[in-house]
Amino acid sequence: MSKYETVLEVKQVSNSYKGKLEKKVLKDINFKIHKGEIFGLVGESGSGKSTLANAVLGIIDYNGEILIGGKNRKDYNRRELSKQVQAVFQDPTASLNPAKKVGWLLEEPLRVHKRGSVSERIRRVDEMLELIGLDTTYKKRRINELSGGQKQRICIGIALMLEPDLLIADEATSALDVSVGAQILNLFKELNERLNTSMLFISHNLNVVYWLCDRIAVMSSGEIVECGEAQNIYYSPEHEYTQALLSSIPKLS
Amino acid sequence: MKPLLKAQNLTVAVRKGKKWITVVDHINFDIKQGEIIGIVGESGCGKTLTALSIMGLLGAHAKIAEGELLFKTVDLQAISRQEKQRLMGYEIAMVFQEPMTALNPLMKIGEQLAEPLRLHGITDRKMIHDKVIEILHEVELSEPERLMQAYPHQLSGGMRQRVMIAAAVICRPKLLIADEATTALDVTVQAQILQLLKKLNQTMGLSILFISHDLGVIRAICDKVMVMYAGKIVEQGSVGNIFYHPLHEYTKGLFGAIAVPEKKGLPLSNIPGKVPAVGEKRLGCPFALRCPKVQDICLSAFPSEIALGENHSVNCALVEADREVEYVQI
Repeated sequence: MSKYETVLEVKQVSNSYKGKLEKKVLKDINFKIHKGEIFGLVGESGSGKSTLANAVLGIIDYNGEILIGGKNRKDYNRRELSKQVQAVFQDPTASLNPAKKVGWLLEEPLRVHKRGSVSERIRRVDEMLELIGLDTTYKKRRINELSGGQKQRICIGIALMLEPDLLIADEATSALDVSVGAQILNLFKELNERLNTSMLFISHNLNVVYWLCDRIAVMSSGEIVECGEAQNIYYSPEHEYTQALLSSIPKLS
Repeated sequence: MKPLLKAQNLTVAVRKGKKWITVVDHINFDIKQGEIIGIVGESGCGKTLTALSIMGLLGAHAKIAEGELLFKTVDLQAISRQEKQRLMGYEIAMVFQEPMTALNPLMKIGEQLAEPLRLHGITDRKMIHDKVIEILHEVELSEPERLMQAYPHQLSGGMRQRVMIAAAVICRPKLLIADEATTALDVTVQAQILQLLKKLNQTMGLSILFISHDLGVIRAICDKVMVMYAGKIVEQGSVGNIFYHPLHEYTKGLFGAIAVPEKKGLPLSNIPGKVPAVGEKRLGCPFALRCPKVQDICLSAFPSEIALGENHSVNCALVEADREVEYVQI
C-alpha cells in the first residue's frame, strides 16, 4: 500500500439547486484525499461544504466524477458505499435512536452487514467503546443518559464500526462546548494515528481546521478558492477571501 | 461612579416538579455606564438565566429566589408591570442569538423598528419614520427606505442581526444585553457585528452585558469578564488580567481547550467530566470534581472571593493557600 494511495478523488464536480432561478452551489470542484490524510474543508455558511459532503455520501446528485477508492461513486450501491464512506454530523442527539441502548446502536452496522457471529460482534462493540474512550458499562446506557460529548463519541464509534476508508466529519465539534469539543478533536487525531483512517473534516472554524488537518481547502460560494498544506494556508494565504477569513477570527492574544 | 446595574447575591431558581432548584447561585456584579462586560462559561452554567433575570423574562418556571437587582436606583424586583414595560426596551434592551426567530416574519422591517417607539409613547408618524431611518444608518444598513419595506426572510443573517440591534437601541437604552448575539453568524459577519456594538458603545455610551461561550469574541469586545461555572462566578476581572493571568483552574481549562495555531501537532488539553447537572447536590467548590489540582479543602466549602488588586478577583481555595505561602516568604 503506497503512501500516496488516493482514497477520494473529486473531479470537476458541480451541482445546482433547481428553482425559478438555477443557483450553482458547487462549481467545478477538484481535490484528492490520500490514505491516512486529514483533509479540511473550511468556509462560511452557504459556501457549499455540506453539499459537497452530501454528494460524496450519495445523498444528492451531482455532475462530474467522484472516485472512491478508484471506483466511481455512482457504480456503488448503498450497501457497498457505506463500507467505504461514513459520516459524523453536527448534532449527535438527532443522529442517534433514543429508544435503543448504546450497545445495540454500535452493533447495528455489523448486524446490517451480517458481519461475524453474535459473540464476535459483542467483542467488536467492546473494542470500539475502548477506542472511543468509553468503558463497556456504556453498552447498557440509553442516549438520554449521555452528555453531548459522549453522544458524539458514540456517533464516531458507529461510523468506524465497518472500518471505512474515509470518515466525513461535517461540523462534528461545532455544537459542543470548547472543553468537550477539544476532547472530540483529540479523539479524531488519535483515531487517525491509530487506524490510519482518512478524514474529510468540514468546519467553519479555521483555527480548528488548521489544528487538525494536514491539507486545507477554502470554499467560498461553491468554489474552492485556495487549497494547500495547512501551514501555507494559515500563515501565507494567497487568496483575498482566505485573508479576510483569517483576519476575522477573534484573536486570543 | 455609581453603577448602572448592580446585582447583589442574585440567586435564580428553576422549578423541577414541586421543588425549586438553584441554578444561579449568589452572584455579585456591577455594570458601570459605558462598560462592556462579558459573561463566559460552558452551556448550562447560568449565563442566560442571569440575563433573563435582569430583563424580568424568567417566566413561570424560574424565579429570583434571593438577592437584589438595582438598575440606577430602581429595584427591578419591586416595580409594577407597567413600570417594567416602560423600562424594558426603553432603558434596558436585549438582543438574542437567533435573529430569524426573534423577528416577526409577517411584519415589514420598518414596522418592527417603529413598534418600540410607539410602545414608548411616540405617535408622530414623521418622527417615527425619521428615527427609523436614522437608526438604520447608524447600524450601517444601506438603502434604509427600501429596507423598511422588506420582510425578514429577504435579509441575510448578518442584516437580520443588524435589524435586531437597531430595534434594541432605537429607544436609546442605557444597557444592552447581548445573549450569544454573534454565535449564529459567520466569522466575517461576526467581526462586523462586534465592530458595530463597539461603535454604539462609544457613540451612545451604551453599556453592554455580552454573553458568549467564545473567549476570542469576549476579548475582542469586552472591558471586563466574568467567568461562570455551575451558577457561580468563579473569577472576574479586566480582560487583560483574565486573559494574561488566569488564576482559576476552570478559566485555565477553557483557554487550554481552544485550538489555537500554536498548538498544532500537540494534543488539546481538556476539562475532564462535565458541568454538574441542575440540582446536583454538592458542597464546596462546584469545579472540584473536574479540577486537576483538587485538594480536601475544596470539597468542604465554596471559597470566598479573593481580591487581587482592583480589577481581578477569584474564588479558589488554592489561590488563597498560595498567597499565604507567598506572604510568609515575604
